Amino acid sequence: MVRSPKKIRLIPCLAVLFALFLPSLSEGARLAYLEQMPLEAFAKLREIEKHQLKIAEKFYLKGEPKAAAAEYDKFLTLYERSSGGPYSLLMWAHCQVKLRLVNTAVRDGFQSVIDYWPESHEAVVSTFMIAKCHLLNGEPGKADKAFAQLADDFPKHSLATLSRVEMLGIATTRKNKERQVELWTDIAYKTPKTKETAPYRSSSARSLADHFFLENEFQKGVEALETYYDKNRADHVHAIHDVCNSVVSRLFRSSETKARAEKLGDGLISFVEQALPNDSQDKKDKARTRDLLGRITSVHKSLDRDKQVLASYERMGKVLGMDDDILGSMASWHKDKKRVDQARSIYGRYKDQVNGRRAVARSYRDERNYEEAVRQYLSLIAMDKEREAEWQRDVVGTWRDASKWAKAITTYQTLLKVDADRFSEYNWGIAECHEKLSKWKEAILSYRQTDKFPEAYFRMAECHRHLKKWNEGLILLNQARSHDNVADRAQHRIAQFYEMSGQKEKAIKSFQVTCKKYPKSRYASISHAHLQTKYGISVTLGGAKDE
Amino acid sequence: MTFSRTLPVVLTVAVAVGWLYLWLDWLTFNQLSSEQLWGGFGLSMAVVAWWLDQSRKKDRVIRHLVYSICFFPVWQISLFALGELGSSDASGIFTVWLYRFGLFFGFLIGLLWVCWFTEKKSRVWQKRRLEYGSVGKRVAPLHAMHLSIAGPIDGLRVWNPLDMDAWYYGKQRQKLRQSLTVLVSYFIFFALMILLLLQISGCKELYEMPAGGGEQKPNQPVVKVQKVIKKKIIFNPLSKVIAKVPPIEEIKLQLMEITKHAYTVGYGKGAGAGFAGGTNRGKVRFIRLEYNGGDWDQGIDADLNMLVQYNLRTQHKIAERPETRKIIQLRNFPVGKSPPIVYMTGQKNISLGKTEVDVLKEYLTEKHGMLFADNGGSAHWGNQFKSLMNRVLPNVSYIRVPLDHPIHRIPFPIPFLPYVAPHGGTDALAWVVNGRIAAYYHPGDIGDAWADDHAGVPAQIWEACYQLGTNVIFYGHTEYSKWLEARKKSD
Repeated sequence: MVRSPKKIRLIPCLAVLFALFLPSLSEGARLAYLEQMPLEAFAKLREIEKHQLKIAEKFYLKGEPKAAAAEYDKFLTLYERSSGGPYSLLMWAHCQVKLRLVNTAVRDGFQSVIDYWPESHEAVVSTFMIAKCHLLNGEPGKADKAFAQLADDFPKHSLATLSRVEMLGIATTRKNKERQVELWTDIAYKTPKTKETAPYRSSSARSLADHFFLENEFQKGVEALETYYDKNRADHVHAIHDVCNSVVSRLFRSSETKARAEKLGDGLISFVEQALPNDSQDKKDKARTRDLLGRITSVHKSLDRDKQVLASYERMGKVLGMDDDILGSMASWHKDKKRVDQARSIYGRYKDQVNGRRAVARSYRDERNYEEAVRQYLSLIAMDKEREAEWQRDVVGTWRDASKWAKAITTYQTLLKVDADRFSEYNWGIAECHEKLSKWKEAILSYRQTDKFPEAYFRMAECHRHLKKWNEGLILLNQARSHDNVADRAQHRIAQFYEMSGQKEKAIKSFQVTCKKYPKSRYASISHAHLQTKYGISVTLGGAKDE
Repeated sequence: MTFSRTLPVVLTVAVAVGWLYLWLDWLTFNQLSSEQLWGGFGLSMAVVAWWLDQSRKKDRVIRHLVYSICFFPVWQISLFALGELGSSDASGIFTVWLYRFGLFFGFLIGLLWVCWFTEKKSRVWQKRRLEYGSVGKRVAPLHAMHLSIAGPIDGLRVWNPLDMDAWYYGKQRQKLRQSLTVLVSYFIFFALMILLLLQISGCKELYEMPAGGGEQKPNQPVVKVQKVIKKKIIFNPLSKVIAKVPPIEEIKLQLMEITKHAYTVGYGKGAGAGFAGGTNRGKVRFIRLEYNGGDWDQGIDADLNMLVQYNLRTQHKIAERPETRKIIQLRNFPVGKSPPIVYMTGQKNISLGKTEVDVLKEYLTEKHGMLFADNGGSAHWGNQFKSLMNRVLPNVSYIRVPLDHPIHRIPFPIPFLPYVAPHGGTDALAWVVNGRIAAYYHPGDIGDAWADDHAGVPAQIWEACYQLGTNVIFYGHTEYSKWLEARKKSD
């Protein structure tokens, strides 16, 4: 173990990603923090060494840890005295972890890094990784101790924060609330405020605040959030509202804690009220006022205060001027409270008549009054002809909701004329509606006019199944089998087709072929179990190994 | 009675009470160590010897009574000694026969004493009535063998079963009826006693590992290959000299140094392959769990194959056949003598009540057991098992077992996870308690590969499945043995 923090050069520029040097190789994939090399060390490498590391990293990022391990090993053999040695061995150990050889990684990788290069950055990372490997081995007790040791030895290192995060995970699994609070406090208050630690500090501050709000300690919760969020910025109030309002909702759900929810909610409202700008005429302030008033309304909503919610919306209208957004939110609240007529009358007040009509149509659709909804959608065509395809799509959706397949087909056919570019999607819809009407031949014809292959093969095969045309179905499934990504599924379905058509021998053989050709597929599992339970056949010819 | 006459009796009673306690412990409680039992039973033998010596001077009845009573501790210590010392199959068979013989002889001794006592008492009553002038019936000598010769006075109802004139024996053939009644009563009493003893001990079961020792390390055969390169003779292929061309290069492999198994598969110090925490009569058993809701007995025939293969691969003593137990029956095993590992499989539902979950929890944690679960055919079963483990060990999250974990390395290093079909993924999972795997989950029907036809999977896969099965069983026993040794030390 490395326990001499003074001797370790803590490299502040760790954040500079090694992967930045390799944008073309990584193709979007990047090395994680624990897999990066310090910039200083990388700069000292010879070109040939950098090249070897690039080759290894290419395999690593491509998800080929075995090949990557071989390349890192080659680096160690070729450039034994290179400053990239500890990094290469560290990465070799990472490869072993990916190969699920956790103990090998610790024994021959991480521990060796610590033994041979005790003062390197990689030694600290290895210490962390050894603790992490304890976790992977199912020994949280050992891991917890190792993480705690690391956090004590290198209190200012980014890995100290990561260690605390890992300890937090252990405490959460053990449902140890006390320890969780202790670690949240540590991370929120004691962690250096760097870019790397930001996500952990933010998350811990929120968790800690959530805990305090639940304990009815509003001020402590606010203070916890202030460890991460700047008091003078808008997101400070946002964070307090988000966390506290979620606690209010949770408390309000139980009759025992309703009173606490009310109290906490009132506290939150008065806190947000204080943050309201005095002057709401300025554009920036106007937006802030809208946001904060919306947040106040949401607290009332959490507490199911109907009158206050509506009053809040009226207040917003008064302060900001009543617009479609506010009206929409108000109507939506009425809808939630099953006052659909009131909601519709509010939609009628929209400045944007088209959106208002669409919302009305939607409300009828939600009420399952499909005929009226369609009437409303069709009236939109007259109002906004340019967006006809959109309204027709709404109509077809409504007919599908109503299970009126014939009408849906007619609308799809209209759509094919109005919006021919999306022919495949509409033909697919027509085919599905034909299927619902048990018009199998028509469905097959429509599926043929789509471009969704190989899925269309399966659908057409199913239609042939209904028509008892087994051979046609099998031909289509065999066509689907030529697509590698669905070959296993097609083979399994072929077996089922043989079974349904009464060709028992062929069915058994096909199930066995599924097991044999695609032993790692879930269809192999289903076929294996089916052969055993249905036919009592234990020889399923599968078998594979996880490598 | 003087002090000198009562002292031996008091001491004997004390020893008898102690012996009874030791006997019950040996049979049921299993709290005392082997040495303590040897000591206690040895002491009872000393008392037996003293009484046998003393009885020579006594009258016939006392002598026979002493012989009869002494039979039981002698029989018991013989059984105990055979169990402790005998390890061969022959000794096992002899133990069974000795047990049967002792039971029969005990029955016979008891029957003889009951008959003797009944006859004696019956005569006393007859004689007493005759002496007091009872009006005896005039019966012929032959009839007197089964008839009362001195009945009670008229109107008197006798209830005493030892008196052949008891009213329920009737007026004819009283002696025969009394004998039959005594015989039947004794038989019922004996059967009840046996049932009672079975009740005491039958609720309890023991699992003992085979004694021995060995090393917990991978079975890695090392083959030393020595290359012997012969001298090369270079020929000119265009030469006019015709010569028989010897092989240009011959490499002779000397495989004389092929690794022999230099170590024994086992754990701890002891002779032969086995476990330090085991006993001479102990065996590795394969116990499959029965549970409600599904097909717990799926592919049950393969269990014997695995057990036999375990024996072939480790040389550990094994039971003759695999067994099954209900989950609830796991509580019958005492702490320290419970199965180190049990197996469960299936492909339908797992439906366990709270009691069963508690028993399983106690088995895995307090009794240091291990559960070997094999997904027999559906992702559903895998999910059911995970949710079961969530109830049994709520604070333990499962891990993906690393391929270099001892359970995958010892005694057979397996570089991959073999499976028949990927019913529940392709990863082996484990629930680790205090650094020890308490439950191991195999996702792909390993049991099918153990079957006679190996489910038709390639030889490499079923061979690996046997090896993995051996590793898991061995791991369970090794961890149990370690725990037993640790307990011993802490005691």
